[in-house]
Amino acid sequence: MTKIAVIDYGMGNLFSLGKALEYVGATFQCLTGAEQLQDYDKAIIPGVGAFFDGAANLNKKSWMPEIVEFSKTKPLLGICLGMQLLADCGWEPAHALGLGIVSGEVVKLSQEGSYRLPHIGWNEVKQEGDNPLFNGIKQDEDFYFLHSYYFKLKNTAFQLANTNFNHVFPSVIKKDFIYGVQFHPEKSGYAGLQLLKNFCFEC
Amino acid sequence: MIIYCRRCVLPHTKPDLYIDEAGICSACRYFENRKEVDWEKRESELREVFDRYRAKDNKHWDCVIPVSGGKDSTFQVLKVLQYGMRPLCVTATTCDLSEIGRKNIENLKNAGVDYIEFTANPTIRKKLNRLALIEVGDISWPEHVSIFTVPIIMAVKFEIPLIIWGENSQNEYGGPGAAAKNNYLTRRWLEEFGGLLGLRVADLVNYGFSEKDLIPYTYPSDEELKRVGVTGVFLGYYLPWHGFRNALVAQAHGFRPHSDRVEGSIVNYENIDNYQVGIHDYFKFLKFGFSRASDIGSMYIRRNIMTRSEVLKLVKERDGKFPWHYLNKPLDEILKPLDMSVAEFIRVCDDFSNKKLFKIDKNGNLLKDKFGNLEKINDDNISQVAFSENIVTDEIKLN
Amino acid sequence: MLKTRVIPTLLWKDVGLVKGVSFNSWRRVGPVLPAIKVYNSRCVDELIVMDISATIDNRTPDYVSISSFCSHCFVPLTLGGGIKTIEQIKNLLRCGADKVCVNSYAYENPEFIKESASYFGSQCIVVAIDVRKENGSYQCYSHAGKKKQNIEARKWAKLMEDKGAGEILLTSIEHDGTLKGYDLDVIKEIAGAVNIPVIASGGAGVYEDFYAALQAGACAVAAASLFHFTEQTPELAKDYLHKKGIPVRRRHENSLVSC
Repeated sequence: MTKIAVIDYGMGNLFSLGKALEYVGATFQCLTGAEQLQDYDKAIIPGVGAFFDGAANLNKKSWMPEIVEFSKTKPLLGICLGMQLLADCGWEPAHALGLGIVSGEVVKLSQEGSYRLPHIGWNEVKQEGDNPLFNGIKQDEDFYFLHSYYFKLKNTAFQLANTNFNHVFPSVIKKDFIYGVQFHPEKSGYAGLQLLKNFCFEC
Repeated sequence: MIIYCRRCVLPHTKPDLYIDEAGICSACRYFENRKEVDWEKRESELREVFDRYRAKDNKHWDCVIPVSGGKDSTFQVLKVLQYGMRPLCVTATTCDLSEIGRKNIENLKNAGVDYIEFTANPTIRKKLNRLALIEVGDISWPEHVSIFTVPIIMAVKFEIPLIIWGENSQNEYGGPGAAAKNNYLTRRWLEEFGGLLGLRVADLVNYGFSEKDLIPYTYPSDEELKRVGVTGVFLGYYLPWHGFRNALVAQAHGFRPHSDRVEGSIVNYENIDNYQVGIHDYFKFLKFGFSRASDIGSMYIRRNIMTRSEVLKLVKERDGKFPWHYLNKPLDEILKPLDMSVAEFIRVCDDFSNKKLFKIDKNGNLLKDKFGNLEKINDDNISQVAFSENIVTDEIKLN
Repeated sequence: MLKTRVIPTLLWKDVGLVKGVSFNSWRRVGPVLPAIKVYNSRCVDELIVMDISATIDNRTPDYVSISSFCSHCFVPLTLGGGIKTIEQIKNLLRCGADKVCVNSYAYENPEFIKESASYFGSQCIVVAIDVRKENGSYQCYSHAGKKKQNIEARKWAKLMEDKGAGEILLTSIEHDGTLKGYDLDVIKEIAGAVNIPVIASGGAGVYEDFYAALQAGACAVAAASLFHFTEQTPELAKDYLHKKGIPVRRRHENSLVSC
């Protein structure tokens, strides 16, 4: 049985994520400390909020080195801020260092275009290739986004799906075992639940 | 804090009930105003309605009467027959018909009427009962839709424009002024006051029901209604409505009450046709803090049949008790067709219990006695000014 | 392509849902939970739940009830009512809310918006602005429409944007609950004054009203009475908008809710 750790660093909508994981039948535990992380098979970093505080909170309980270690061999999923924290650094609202697991920086989405910032609502996720994370999810499916900043990858080979909001940005990234989704699968209806299920059981 | 009407015992939590500055609720005020009504004028209006809508040929019935076999519909049929109308009586079979319910339906047929008993697919009905209980906390939701839809379907099919309902539930039980005076049942009324709790028939496809499954629950289109000119009127607008009087008249014509005490109620002559009503009434209590005993008791207070303190005592004893059985049928048997265990039922009950109305422990869990009953935070107003119990109401005019 | 959102609003007062007309909301219409479950089953784009007596009663959010609502809600949820501290927002987000809505307290302490946006990100902070038209201009009111704030809506909206609000939930008090249509002029004015999304609220009666609001500059449309008290549904509203060429999210054929 796959055991999944949900990293509780004080900045996530754990309740919703927990309900969604329950719904898809995953076996999971919310961890408030990093000591037991390595006992788990997969991990999820949720996240709601600004990069600066997210990074500070991860540092508080010495999460960073444990997550980096974990990600070398085991599947990891970052959601929204959780995905952004995988980067080298971010700028919301001021500069802060991230986990540095996937190279890139987290910068503000452009306001040049027909859409107003923040990026709030349902938008299409264009898959760029087959991956078990997308099993059963149709191309250009809508997912729910709630952010103003995005992950600017250094190496675009790690982009697994893109979304258009004034400009194209990575909505799903993948490097080895590590996945990041900019949207909130726990709030994206059927498609979101399917994606979570895929991560828990297929990836 | 739950605020209660100072005259009857209905609480402010009841949807559409307005309690005024004097502490009197809109249902009591409506009843007061019945004195002002010119019932003779209303009766002649009723005759006009009948004359206007009576069939123009002998190939059509004069009106549709939605009936259940209960005391009110029995009374309605007898009344309509007195005016020389030839009705088509329509029953949408209830969810879990009791033996006494069946007897009373047969009795109503013997009043001398043409009668259609329409039974929606029971397999689908049970699934709908389960769905409605879990999703909106109302096991009777499909029955409710059925009662308001099947007679309309029949009216359209048989080209009968006039449908005669019983009381406008907005009247006696309170409601916004215009709606209380409303004597026409429109689609909009149904959506706004029909107690659908926001769940639409159209939503049911989200749960795996097909359109064909839902034919008996699908309201005819506006075009069909317009073509036939379907109009619904409430008899309760034209006659002073008294459930108790209706029961006496119905009993004189063969209607039989339940032989034993009806759980959760203080009478044995209503809601005796469907075993699931106990669950329906219990959920009303969980959501609003009052149920059947409060409703009937309040009507008795208004009509000087009982005093407020007598009713309060009965309400405390009977209202909102966990429905271990109804009409002597045990809960687990009632739940079996819904594929639901008592344990699951209790979880659904807890979901829908409005924790603001009941006593809870420091962890936010509902406090229950050894029979699973909840306790309200207050059973009456804290400062209930002594109200004169010699209130004079209108005389009950019996035809 | 970003989809336009159609958002049912639930007005929660004390023990249950209420229906208001021009913010006169005595009329109780039933408990909150069934409404949440039904909208959840319809997979609506978002849901707004406003605790409209919290500020007047001067109390904190009712976390017990809110947790119960959230445990049945898989759609994005905005919660509002009596929010005054960072701790409250943290707790609400932990409970399951995705965004929070601040109204009355922002007038007392505009810096709170800056603080919250800084900590949680602008996208989590919705500022609700309730307006009345007076002598040709739109004036802001707080405390469920009872307290005049002596500031023009346009000015206030810009200030809130500067402080970091992510969205404006704009409600016309006079139109609210009337089912007669939105106040398109105020939508035009506020949408033109700010660069953040504006959600139109107050008065929608038919699907055409949604289209008109979007044409006036709203990014999303919210409605209460239309969805609770008529036969109209969010699904059909989006079908209508789709036919008018507005990009909307349509129901997935596999989205069955199990029960």
